[in-house]
Amino acid sequence: MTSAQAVETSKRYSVRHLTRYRYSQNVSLSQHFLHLLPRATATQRVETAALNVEPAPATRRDTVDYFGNPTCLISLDEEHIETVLLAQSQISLQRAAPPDPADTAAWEKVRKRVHEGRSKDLLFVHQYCFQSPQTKAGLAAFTLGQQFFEPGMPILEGSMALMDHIFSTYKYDPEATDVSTPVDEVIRIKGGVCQDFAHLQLACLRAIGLPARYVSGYLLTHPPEGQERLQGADASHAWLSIWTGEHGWVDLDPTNNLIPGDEHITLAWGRDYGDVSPINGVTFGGGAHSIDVEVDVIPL
Amino acid sequence: MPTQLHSSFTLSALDYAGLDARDELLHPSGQTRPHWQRFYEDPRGLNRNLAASRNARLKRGLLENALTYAITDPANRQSARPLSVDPVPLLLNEEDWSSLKKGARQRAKLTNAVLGDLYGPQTLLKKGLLPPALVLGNPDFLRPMHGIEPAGGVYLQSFAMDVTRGPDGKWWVLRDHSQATAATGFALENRILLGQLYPEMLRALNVRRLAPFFQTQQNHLAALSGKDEPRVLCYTSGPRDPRYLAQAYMARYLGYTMAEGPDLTMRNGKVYFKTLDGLKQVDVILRQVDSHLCDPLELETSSMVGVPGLVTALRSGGVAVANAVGSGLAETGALAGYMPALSQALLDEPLALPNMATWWCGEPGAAAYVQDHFDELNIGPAFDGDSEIERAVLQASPAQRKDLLTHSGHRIIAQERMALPTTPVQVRDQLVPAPYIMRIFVTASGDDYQVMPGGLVLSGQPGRTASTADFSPTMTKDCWVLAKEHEESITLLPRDDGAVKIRRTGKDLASRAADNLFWLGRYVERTEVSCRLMRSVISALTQEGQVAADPASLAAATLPLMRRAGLNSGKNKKPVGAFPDKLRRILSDKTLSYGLFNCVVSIQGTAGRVRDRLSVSTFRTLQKLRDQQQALLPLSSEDVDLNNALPALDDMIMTLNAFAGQSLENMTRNSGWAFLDMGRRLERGLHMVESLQQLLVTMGKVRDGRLVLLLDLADSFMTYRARYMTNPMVAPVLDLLLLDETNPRSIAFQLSQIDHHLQQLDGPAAPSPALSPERHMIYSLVSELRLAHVEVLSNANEKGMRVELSKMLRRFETSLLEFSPLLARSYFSHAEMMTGPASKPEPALRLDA
Repeated sequence: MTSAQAVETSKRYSVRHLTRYRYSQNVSLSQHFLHLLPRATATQRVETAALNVEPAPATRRDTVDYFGNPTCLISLDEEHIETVLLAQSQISLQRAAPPDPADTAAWEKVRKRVHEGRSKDLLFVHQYCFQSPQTKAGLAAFTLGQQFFEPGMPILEGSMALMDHIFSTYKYDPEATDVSTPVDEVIRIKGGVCQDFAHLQLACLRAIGLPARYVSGYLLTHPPEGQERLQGADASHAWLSIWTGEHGWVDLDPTNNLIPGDEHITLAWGRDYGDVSPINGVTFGGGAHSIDVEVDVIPL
Repeated sequence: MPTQLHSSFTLSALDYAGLDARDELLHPSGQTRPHWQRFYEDPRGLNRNLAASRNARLKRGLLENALTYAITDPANRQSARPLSVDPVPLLLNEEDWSSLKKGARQRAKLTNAVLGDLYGPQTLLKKGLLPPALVLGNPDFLRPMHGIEPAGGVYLQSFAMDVTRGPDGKWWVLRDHSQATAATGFALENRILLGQLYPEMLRALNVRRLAPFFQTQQNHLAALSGKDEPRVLCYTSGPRDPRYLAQAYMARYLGYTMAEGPDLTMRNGKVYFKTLDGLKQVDVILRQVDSHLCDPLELETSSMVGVPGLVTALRSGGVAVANAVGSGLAETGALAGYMPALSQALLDEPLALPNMATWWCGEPGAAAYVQDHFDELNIGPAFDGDSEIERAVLQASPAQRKDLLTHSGHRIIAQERMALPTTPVQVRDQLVPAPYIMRIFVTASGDDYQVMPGGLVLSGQPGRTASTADFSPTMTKDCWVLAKEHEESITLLPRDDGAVKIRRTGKDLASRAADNLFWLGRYVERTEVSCRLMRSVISALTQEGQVAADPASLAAATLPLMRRAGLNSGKNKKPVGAFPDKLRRILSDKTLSYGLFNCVVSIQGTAGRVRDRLSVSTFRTLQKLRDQQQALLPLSSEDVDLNNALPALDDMIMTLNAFAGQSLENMTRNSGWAFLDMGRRLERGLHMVESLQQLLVTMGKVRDGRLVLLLDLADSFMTYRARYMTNPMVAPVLDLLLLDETNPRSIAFQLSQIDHHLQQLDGPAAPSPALSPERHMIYSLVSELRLAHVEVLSNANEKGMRVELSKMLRRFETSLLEFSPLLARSYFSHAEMMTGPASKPEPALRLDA
């Protein structure tokens, strides 16, 4: 049985992701490495996807990175005072019923299988077992991870218990952290945002040798009862995915304590945020700058 | 007990007694090993009587080089050469050498093959020859580099390994260096220094020469580009890197320009060097920057020494980088245990040189062994720079250690401890055995490898024994490989076969270097102006001298400086009583950005950044300034008489004059010179404009003292006296200081010099008939001065104001202040620094449920 087997429904979305940099003085050169176009997955079909950059870049190179994500490098060589990056796509998502957690393999078995595997696919899974720059953590993550994985614990059940622990113990607090807060610090302050919770759970799982990857994407939001959707009010989201052996990769969203279904749109995955950061950029000149981001996820 | 084996040198009996490790000089029987005999006995060799002079000459030679290549600024002490040189080389005979050479060549080949597999098909992982964790859990495995074929298919262009010897003379490998091998620079320096100590012995003993190795390296790197005259650069992270000195030494010998990240830019899949003449394509980069820092877009995003887009250029094949970005992967000590099997699998031959026994704790069996033998082994991180695991292991309790070895074992290695061999070093007039290890260097040559015949010997505390666990080098040594037969000498100096193109201009001047030279000129002049001002004012205040200006004039003359230094808030209404305190602060306050202390700091900083553009003596002259300024620091105390500042100020002015003279005499008149001089002229012109504004504009009946002060500040008193036998008067002083293009202190002189430089920089055939904005500005100022009437400018109105002069000076001041940005736009725009990574949007979303 594979994760894509029990198809129940299919939903379609239009995604619009606009990023605008404004500079106080002219920028003589800016160069960006982007992860802004969605990848296809077992349950996600990318019907259309386009990235538009203003002003038009002198160089643009579209490639696929080591993890299979579409990337784009742009270089703006003429003086400019503003950069607008607009990514638009249409996505169709199939809902796959997640496996019964109690029915998944014991975590030690999964670990053994990955660590002893030598096939190309298993080697690719194996790389997600190790600390990466943004999931570095001390013994605290190991101790935390161990708590939820008694011998013989089914891997998904343990992972969900850990997710529930993070959800109920850690406070959602956008002020508490920034894009580079280390996991040890998140454990200390018991707070953060989706990215921090994903990194934290990844650090715990990897500390006990389990393969888990970081997923960047979007989430459909529902306006409060009786109110209109506000344009541009959605945002990027981050969660993680654990490899469960025969059931393959299963996504987990510790920020919302749920297994993503047909409302999570995947953009890219990698070892951590650093591998898939939507925009890595450098500018020359320009003085101070401001950034505005608008995201819209609209069901079709 | 052998105390006086040979007449030429004494062995330290005490130290040589009871050695149990191998010694290079003495056979266990107490006899000198045969290949040392000749060097030991020959009076041109280890002559005891010359011991002291050898040391002195080495010390001087090292100092010269350090001054040539490093910034010896106290704040930058790490860039000075870390270890000195011993005058006694390590001698190896051909048998010693041949096994080492064979092993090093094979090891480079093997390491290259391993890199090629791991950044390509990864069959080593798939076949189980290497455990995946060793690669996939290694932070030096740079995923963006996977699948990018390097130029010529070679990943490793230069390689080094550290070796030691067992009691039986067998060589063992301690560790590998696959990232970059700039320490060849030190090996080269040692050889050049020792060549000066024993000019005849090198030839008499048939010491294998190093030059052919560097020639091979040059040829190999040039060939990577496929061009006849490729632009090859040495890419470094700058003077703050402790390896900078070695890099500079190597780059200069190989004839490569040094470039830092900000000097390079990626455009359209190619890499360019930012020069005054615009962007010049770079063909080959000899990389000295650690791989992960090379590209802030695709590798470590926080890197400030990277070249944004370098990975893209590599992917497009637009540039060759040596070693390949990512080559640090093979530096891990975890590979050691797998090398014999890898050699069989990849080269189909047995491994020639064994590794020291190493346990990589990513293997459960090894982890268990290390757990049981923890205190007998050398424990360290498996991956370069992983200090966290090192700390964690050392601090862990035995129970925690077990956890660490279980879940982070792949980050830990352990190495057996082994006693190091010894080799003699010179301590006063004795030879004392010191433990040593040696670094061997290899360069690629086409698809093969060539080993440098010799190496860099690192020796420890003389008279002590050491093991691999507690060795720390205190000195370096040259290594002489003694050939049986004489070889023809080769040098890297160009041969006179007429093929060299005659060039009158230097190589590309980096925009950043031009920018720094311009500012060096400005800082030097700014310092000189402040010193002169302080000297004139202090003499006038405290002594009966040539300058007997009234207090108001002195205050007026110093007002612009005080304002800039933040010691004056607008109008000078404070009593003159506070004046000496302000002078003290200018002289000695380390916190004032316009004080003399920070002027000198700025000079040292900018000079360091253009170190390779200044001659040794010029650079040394600037070094003196710091000591001279130190003499002013006691002036902060009111107990020290202000007069005490005068000798130090005299010294500083002399030193600055010496710098001016040296740069005038020694610098070729290329664009580098033009920028240095323009900086100086601009600053001097601005200062003269200010002085005239302060001292001449507002006073109707100018008192003599004020004009004398003005002439003194401009160092033009003697000129004035020679021309006019009278006391100073306004019109002639104004003519001399404002309009006279023959007086090197006048405003007219500064502007016409700048105009001349700009004209030269534009080249004989300017592309456009219109003048550039900066040239237009300077040209119109020069013309205005040429057309001016000194009588009109000297006229004061009924309120004592020289209105015309004031208007003119204000116009000049405004223009000159705009000159720097105009020049920057035309010439330094490429030098613009990265303002940093763009903000990253943070994913932040939670369902309100």
